[in-house]
Amino acid sequence: MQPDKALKKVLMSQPESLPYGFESRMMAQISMAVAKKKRRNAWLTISLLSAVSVLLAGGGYFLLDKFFEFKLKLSWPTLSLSPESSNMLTFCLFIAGLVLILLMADLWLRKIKEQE
Amino acid sequence: MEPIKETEYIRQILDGNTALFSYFLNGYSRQVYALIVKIVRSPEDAEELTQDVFMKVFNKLDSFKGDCRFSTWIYRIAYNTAISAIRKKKNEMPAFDDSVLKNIPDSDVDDLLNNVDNESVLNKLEQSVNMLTSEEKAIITLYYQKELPVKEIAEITGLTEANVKIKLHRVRKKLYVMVNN
Repeated sequence: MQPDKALKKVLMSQPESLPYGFESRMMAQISMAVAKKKRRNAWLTISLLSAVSVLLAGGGYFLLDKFFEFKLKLSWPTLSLSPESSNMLTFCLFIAGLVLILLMADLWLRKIKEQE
Repeated sequence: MEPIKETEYIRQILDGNTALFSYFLNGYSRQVYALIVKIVRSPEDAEELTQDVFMKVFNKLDSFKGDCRFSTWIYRIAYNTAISAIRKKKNEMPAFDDSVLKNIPDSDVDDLLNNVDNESVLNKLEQSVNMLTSEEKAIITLYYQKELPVKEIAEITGLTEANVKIKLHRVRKKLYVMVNN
């Protein structure tokens, strides 16, 4: 085929530059995709492990109960609290609740900072 | 780029060293963008599609078997992505009458397409190139600008070599008609 110099010149002359920073933006997107994939895989592993653990525990209990006549009895202990210990328990629960709220606020603020 | 080095880089990226992907980005992003912008015409759309192409390349890296050059594989993804985008928008030009093209002598086409000194012809040629279909633009970009052999263009576009040659021949005549009208 002929070199078609004029056509080649026209095609070569048209500008075709990518915006500045395209490569770095693309790499950031790829890093995010990789992190997302890792998180998804971690959740999948945890879910799978939990499901298998529950199945094994359930299967074990079923085997013990059905074939070995091993009766597992669960009973809650009865607590009798004096008025003083009851107050102390309320106070402890209040502190625990406060700590939990502060931890959640910390997590929320960290997330906002990360997004920024 | 050296094929051996590229294969080694791909292996390392698949092993988790994702930072090495910047090697491919630096090496191919401009070329991919150049091809896409010719097909879709809009620089904004072309940038977005180039991003899509590299995300696809990254996600499908494990499916690259090495049976063709890595650049061919990337160009194939870029070509298919751009053509799909154009088809979604359905803004192709109407079909050209083939009977008009048959009567044009090849020597006239050769003379026109090698006339580098006439600015008016070059301007008309540029306008005509922009009016070609996306597939035609992709083929002439790969052939004239990227200087790829017909065999590689056939691999990228999924056409046969004979078909690519016919299309190139047809595009030359089509440009001749467009410039002279």
